[in-house]
Amino acid sequence: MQLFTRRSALRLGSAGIAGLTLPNLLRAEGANRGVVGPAPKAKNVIFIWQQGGPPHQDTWDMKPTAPSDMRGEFHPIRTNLPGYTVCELLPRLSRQIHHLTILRGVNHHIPDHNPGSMFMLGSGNPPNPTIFHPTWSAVVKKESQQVPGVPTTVAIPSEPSEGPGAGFLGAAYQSFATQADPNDADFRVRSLAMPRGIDLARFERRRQLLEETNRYFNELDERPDLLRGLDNFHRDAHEIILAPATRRAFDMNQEPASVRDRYGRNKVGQRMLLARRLVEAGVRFVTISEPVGWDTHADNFKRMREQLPVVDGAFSALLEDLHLRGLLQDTLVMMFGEFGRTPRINNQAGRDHWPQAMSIVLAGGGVPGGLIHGATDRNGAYVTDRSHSPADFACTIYSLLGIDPHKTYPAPNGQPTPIVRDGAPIRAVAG
Amino acid sequence: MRLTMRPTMTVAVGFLLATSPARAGEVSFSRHVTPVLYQLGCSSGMCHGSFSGKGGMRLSLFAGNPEMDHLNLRGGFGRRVDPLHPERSLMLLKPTRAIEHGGGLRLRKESWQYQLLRKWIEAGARFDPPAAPKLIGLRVEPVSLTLPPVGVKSPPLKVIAKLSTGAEEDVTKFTKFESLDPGLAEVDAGGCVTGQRAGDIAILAHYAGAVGFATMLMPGPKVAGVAFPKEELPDVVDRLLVERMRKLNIVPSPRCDDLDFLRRVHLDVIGQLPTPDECRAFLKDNAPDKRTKLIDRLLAHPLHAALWAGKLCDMVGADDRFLGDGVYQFHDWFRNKFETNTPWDKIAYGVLCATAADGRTPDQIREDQKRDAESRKKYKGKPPPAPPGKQPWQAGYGTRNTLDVFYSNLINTQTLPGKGRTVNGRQIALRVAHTFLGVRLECAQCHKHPYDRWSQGDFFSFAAVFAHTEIGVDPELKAQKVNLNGVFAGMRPVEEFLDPDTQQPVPARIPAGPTITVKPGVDARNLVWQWMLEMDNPFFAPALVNRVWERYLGRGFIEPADAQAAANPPSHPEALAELARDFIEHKYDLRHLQRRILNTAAYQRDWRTNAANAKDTRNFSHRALRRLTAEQALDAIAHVTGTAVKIPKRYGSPRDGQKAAEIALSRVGGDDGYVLQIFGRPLRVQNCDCERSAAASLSQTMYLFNDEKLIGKIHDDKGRLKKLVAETADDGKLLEELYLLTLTRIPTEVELKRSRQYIAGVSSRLEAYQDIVWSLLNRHDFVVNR
Repeated sequence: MQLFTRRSALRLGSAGIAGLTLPNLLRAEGANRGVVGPAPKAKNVIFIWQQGGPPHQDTWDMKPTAPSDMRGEFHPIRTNLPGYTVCELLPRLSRQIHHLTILRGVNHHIPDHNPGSMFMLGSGNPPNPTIFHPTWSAVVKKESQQVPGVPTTVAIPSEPSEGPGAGFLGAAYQSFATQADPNDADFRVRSLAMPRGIDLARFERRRQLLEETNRYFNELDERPDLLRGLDNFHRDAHEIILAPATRRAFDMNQEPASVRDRYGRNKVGQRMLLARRLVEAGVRFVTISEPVGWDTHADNFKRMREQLPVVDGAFSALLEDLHLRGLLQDTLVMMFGEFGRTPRINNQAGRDHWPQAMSIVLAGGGVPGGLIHGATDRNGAYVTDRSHSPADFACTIYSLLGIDPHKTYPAPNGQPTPIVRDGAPIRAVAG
Repeated sequence: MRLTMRPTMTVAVGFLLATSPARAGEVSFSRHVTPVLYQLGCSSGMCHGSFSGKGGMRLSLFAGNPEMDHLNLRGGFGRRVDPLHPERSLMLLKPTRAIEHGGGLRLRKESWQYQLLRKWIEAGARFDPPAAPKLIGLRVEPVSLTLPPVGVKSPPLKVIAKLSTGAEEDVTKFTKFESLDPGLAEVDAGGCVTGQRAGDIAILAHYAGAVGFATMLMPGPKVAGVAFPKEELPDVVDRLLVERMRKLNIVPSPRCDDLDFLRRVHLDVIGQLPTPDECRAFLKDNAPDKRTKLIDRLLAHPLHAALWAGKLCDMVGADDRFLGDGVYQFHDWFRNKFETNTPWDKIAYGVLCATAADGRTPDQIREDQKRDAESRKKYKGKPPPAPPGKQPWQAGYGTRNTLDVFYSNLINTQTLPGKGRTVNGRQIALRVAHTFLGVRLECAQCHKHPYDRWSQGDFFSFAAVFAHTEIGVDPELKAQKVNLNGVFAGMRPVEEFLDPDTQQPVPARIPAGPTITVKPGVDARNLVWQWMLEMDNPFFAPALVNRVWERYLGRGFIEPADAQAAANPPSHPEALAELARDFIEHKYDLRHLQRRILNTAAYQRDWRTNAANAKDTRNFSHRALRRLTAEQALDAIAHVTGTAVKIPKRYGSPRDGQKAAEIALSRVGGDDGYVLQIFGRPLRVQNCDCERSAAASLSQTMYLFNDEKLIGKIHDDKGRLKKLVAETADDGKLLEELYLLTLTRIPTEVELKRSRQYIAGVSSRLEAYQDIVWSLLNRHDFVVNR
């Protein structure tokens, strides 16, 4: 897919890119696992979590004809997809719509951060006080073959705390958190390298001692989740410490300065760059928690002027980079928050929570390029076309990954519980 | 049964829209028609209950707003209901699919629901007259039901509505039932329950915006060979818990051993591990009441107050990014209050009704201001040091009656037109509800709370209470020639909130109570505080009791512990009610409450399980293992290695030599701050107890396994280990010391033998012991509070 023209971008529907990018390798991998799910299109995921809920009407779903107390301060600009406009603060991404699918029809009913995040992070399952559904990365970790020494899932700097985390799958399926910020000059993931004064022989010797004596809770027949998690982490820690390639992947200094500049020398840019490095090193799912958040109850427009150019620079660099390196076809990039924001601008020049509409950005991993799916009304308030539940969205993502969205795991109450309770894949996206 | 009979707050609000008085025996719109629409699924979020409605017809979500529903049904050019030709009403034609209906077939012509809706339309399709009986409570019978074996249907539950006239009405057929966990028990439309697995779960009954519940018990098989422990249960709470376990065939674990108890109660009450000497002394003590005495001693320990100060700072959101130095005022104030065992109602008063004047007379304020000015001059603007013999929180801000920084912390980020700094009424309402009522109100900001009785109007009128708080020069004091700049109770709201329906400003109102007329001498906040203290307030005392129980037992009766809601009933309503009653009776004495809980058999059970309780997670049948909290982990590492916790100094009030349990800051830097971070200490940015993470993670294991700084602490030349190794020649003695120090237990024979082997195989004795301590810190039983 070289020489991309506007026209071909428009024509690319679900049939366009899907199918082209299916490495046989992936099918084989799926077959090995005995997964009887949809054939995978995406192998890796980079997930940018926009905590707080970005304003859909000031980004991907512009409403220039809305009344003045709703439309906001920004002008729409044309994109390389004729007829589609985005916010003027996204000039670079406006030339990359051929890589993107924008979903404007996903909506739900919970305008509160924590339960709303449970919804959008918890694999599209509505929040439930008795059971936490696992988040995206936990399901991928569960469904992936682990490579010794490479963490299957990584969160930069940590998994969003407002979500369900690994949910009922248990602590062992959490992502490895970098904790530190890759934009810091002295960024380093702590505890990775062997400390000074401890050589390999001593490292192995005392680990042996630990393994032989760490048996105090062995008399428990039902090993609670906490202990199972600790067991796994002991194994993982040991393997990761002995894997220099993993350590190198976390070393931002290996990246040329020009590349770091292109992503933007800011928290968001460097997180996306690190995500690309990790995917190259074999990490399957990278979660990026955004540093500032999008909960713009006050000063929405001032904050957008600060935040959107950062996203524009970083996200467009990531797309170009993944594309050039041939990674985009099997790496799904997704970016969204827990809801959109109110049409009406409040007296603090802000916008409040609004789950009835939102915009979800997808790229790569087999999603069609240049697909704008779903629409909202004149004020950006309600979905008027192709309304989808978070469950539909989740089914779409898992289908792209070759995971049967309704596959069940045993929950703590013993009941087989599906990854996604309801919903069906959005065919225009998942094929 | 206070808890199950919470006063309903929003059901059947006003009946202003009624057209004419209805005849007796007629179908009531809000008690019969909207419940039927809810039951049929019409008002669900996926159908007409969605914000955009469906097919041009909108109903309130979960039938929460009957007035709106009535207006909508009477709209649509009169085609939706046609009293002259009831059968031609769209309300009947659509759901029966006599004409096309996007929602499919919902209603059958021969059903009683059809007849009911028809009768209501025929009678004029009116809203209920103002004098119509209102729903004031809901009850499910029986309250608790032991189910027949798996797969067999129970007899139906009965749902009784209590009406304002004093009459009761069986509304079972208007009720929508819901199982909180269909994996445990399923409920059909008629209220018959079928157990799926052993366990216990609540069945909810939704009716006319109110929620009732009943507890279902599904006994597991009796396990042969596991005997009930012989124990005396002087506390009725224990008897209630054990009674439930007997019904479920769960056998509780016996009392834990002394060292397990010592470790647990030290960690839980003061956040620290016991020393080896404390271990030995406790083992030697033969007094039968030694546990009770230890509990009393620890509750009076200075670090106990520090722990709760930290917890309250988490709850009210004392975030130092905005507060700077002010975070110490929060922490000192709470620490002072817990140290003096200030009753919980007084603490609530201090937060809710805070003013800069703090109850002082103008003369006292003038005197204080003079003294402050002199002190500022003397100490060059820095806060004065605490007087000799006193800790910082025992003097200065911590001794005030009220916490006025609570208000100045939650201000609007943008200036409102014509105003200076103004409080953010919504944020304060959310924090107050979360901290003192154990209720998450976020949903009600935008619509009726889907799982509770709080409407948007309730939320705004609650926010309006706090919007009457002003920041600036108190005019009343100014009239008396005192210039005091700060928080005071204002007469006019700094911000008005509009009623979503009428677009009129909502008045300040006590939840479920009357409107407040704010005038000189009337502080709306004070009336809310008084409402909290009413005997039958369903939120205030249970919220705190549930949180304390959760803290010590690892799980709340209500779970999550900060999510009291009608649709999230407690697992053991009677036990929670009993503790709340006792707490109120003892005038909100926090130490009394904690002493009682810590002395229960439930708290002191062994973590070892048996075949008849290993799977139980809801009945407190055994101690639930939990990971050390962030502060416990950091203090425990410092304790074991004999190194100090190092917190980089920030702001003007450094406090040297403090334990992690005493840290006031929300953002802690440095290497030790990293430990707090990875072990899940909250940043105090979310309005949720869940911000503190209790989960294990790879970062934690990597730290204990391999972090250079941790290894540095173990190997520290001035640390504990080097000294111990030099002083103790006997390996047996030294190993016992190290096991007591890190794991609070005596090493087993196998452990001793393996350790001796290890020492023999390493040329340097010190190096061997460094490795042993490393292995002890990496044991599961180090990082777990058992």
